[in-house]
Amino acid sequence: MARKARKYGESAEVPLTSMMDVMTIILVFLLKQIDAEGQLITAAENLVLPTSTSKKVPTEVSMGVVVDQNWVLVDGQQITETKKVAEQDSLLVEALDKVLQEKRAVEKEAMLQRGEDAEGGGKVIIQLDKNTHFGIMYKVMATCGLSGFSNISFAVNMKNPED
Amino acid sequence: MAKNLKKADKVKEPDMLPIMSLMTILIPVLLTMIAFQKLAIVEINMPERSDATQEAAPPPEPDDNALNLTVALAKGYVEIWARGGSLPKVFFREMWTFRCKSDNDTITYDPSGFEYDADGVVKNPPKCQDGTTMDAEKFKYSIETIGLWTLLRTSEEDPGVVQMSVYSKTDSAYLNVENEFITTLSDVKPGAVVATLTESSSRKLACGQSAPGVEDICVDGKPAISLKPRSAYDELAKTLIMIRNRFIDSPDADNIIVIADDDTAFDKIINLMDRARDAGFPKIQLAVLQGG
Repeated sequence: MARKARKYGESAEVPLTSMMDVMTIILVFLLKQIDAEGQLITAAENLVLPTSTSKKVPTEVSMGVVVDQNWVLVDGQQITETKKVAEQDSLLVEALDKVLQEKRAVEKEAMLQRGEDAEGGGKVIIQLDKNTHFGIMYKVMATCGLSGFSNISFAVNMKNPED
Repeated sequence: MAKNLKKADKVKEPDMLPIMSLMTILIPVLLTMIAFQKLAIVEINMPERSDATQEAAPPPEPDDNALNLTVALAKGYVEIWARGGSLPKVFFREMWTFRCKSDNDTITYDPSGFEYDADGVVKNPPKCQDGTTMDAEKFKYSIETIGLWTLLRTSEEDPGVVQMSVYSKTDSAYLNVENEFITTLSDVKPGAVVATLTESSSRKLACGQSAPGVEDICVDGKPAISLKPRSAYDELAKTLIMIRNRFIDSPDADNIIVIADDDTAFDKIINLMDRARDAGFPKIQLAVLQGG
């Protein structure tokens, strides 16, 4: 009886060598995948970006406009319904224009305080779903341009980033 | 004495627990820093409406040497204008390729076959190869590629015949020495000289060996080329490269205007812009087709 108790009381050692092997492989894989520069844009939810051969990455943080199936958003804030943008005839999306003009005024003010040229800046990155109609796209683009954000870029998924 | 020697032979395992703890911390930290899908940007000039009323300022004098290159993407065809003239239309059939979540396989559908109800919900959503039906409201999110298959049409009424081309294992269309698309698999074999739609891409084909100017077309000892419907983007790229080489001295040799219908998908615009940029036209302007 005493012998049995001693058997179960012994601490069982887990072989860690094989675990270490697995961990080392995972670590090497993750280090290989890591993007040391980081990403200045994050893909919005509820949309699938198109894939492009472009290798250009943003070098500074810009204002973000997202157009998904339901909403047009500026820096994550819902501005107007995408459906309304599609139905209107005018190039100018008024609700979006109002928000963008306010943002541009704030940006200009900040640039003046830093002693920079206030006419500079005006950068915007637009994220659109790959199925978004060109009609919606150009209305949003035109509104960005008219409200002072004339340096327009589209966010895309990079094709073959390892090339 | 013998007992003591036996004890000395037993190697003590190093204590791995601190290293394991370090790894357990490192792995979640690295996971948060990983970008599984890298994002890029495509820069663009401001759009203009082709039917917009002109400002009071007089229009600039027309330049006879200007290229004025314009690509129009309309329903069913692409057309190129340059120097006031137009090239023959490239007709295409649009095909949507979906990735099914149920079996991770792809299916290709002609979107003109979908029927929609009054609310815009599709009545006959695509069916996967395992028999499951895709979500009628969200199936468009599963579109992997929007392909434009080149058609050969002899008249307006002719539905057209899909043109085929030989594609490499990296999905590049092969061209022969006459700069024509290769349409038979037997013409792409080790020893043949071919090119692709990129600059100075002439190369000799080989199986199992790779070197500068030599392309290995084999995978596991077998040619990995395929005969597929020719993409209208490839047709367009070929023509744009030809125009670029011929009119390189034009004052607006870097410019291109892309015109499309209101309901053209953004994906097609990006694809077209990619081909234009790769062909040597980095300054891209967008416009809407008149009446669009």
